[in-house]
Amino acid sequence: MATTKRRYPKEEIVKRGDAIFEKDVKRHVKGRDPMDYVLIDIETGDYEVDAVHMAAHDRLRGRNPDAQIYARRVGSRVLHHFGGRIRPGAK
Amino acid sequence: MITGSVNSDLEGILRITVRGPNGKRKRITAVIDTGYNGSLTLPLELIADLGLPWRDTGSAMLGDGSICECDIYASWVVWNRRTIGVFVEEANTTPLVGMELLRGFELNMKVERHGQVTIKPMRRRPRDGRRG
Repeated sequence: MATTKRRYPKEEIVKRGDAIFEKDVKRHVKGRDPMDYVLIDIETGDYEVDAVHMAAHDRLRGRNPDAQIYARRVGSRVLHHFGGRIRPGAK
Repeated sequence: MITGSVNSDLEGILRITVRGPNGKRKRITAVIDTGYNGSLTLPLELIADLGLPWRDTGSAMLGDGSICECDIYASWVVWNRRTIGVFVEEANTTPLVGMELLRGFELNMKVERHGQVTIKPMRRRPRDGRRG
């Protein structure tokens, strides 16, 4: 099993991952289930999409065991939520 | 079937075994949280103790609507008498079992002190077939 460590601060992984998603990935995942997982290698821009988090992860890490991976959903940058969620349209 | 109990704070409690990549294992007490859509949270000290490998990083929304960044780690959990791979989220609270770990199972709780919690596989596979 790959034992890659995180080499960037969490905030930087999220920031860079979201920027890559908006610029390069978003247009390719239109029509997918909004809850599908999108995993992005923030150093190469390589990505994977799957309904199963672990499946997307294993394919991406299989291509680059050293990958620094950002995870989100197709329709939201929030990967998981605890308790309440923001209501659509809420201020 | 997996069994647990309801505590005096009316939380559904499970005792589950979590294992790391080198075979080290811990028996933990976890609270069932139907408002959490991940699989399992563990405190960082336990993640370090088990030597769980980092997998990826994302954002989580907390109960007050705020968003924080969190790391995801790989673990192995004994679930319904099988050991399965489970992605774990760091959270410095009592471990939480979320809806993703419960996918494909029926959850029954007698919500009273010492009430029984039972979790059993659904007779048919979940329609969406997701797992993870």
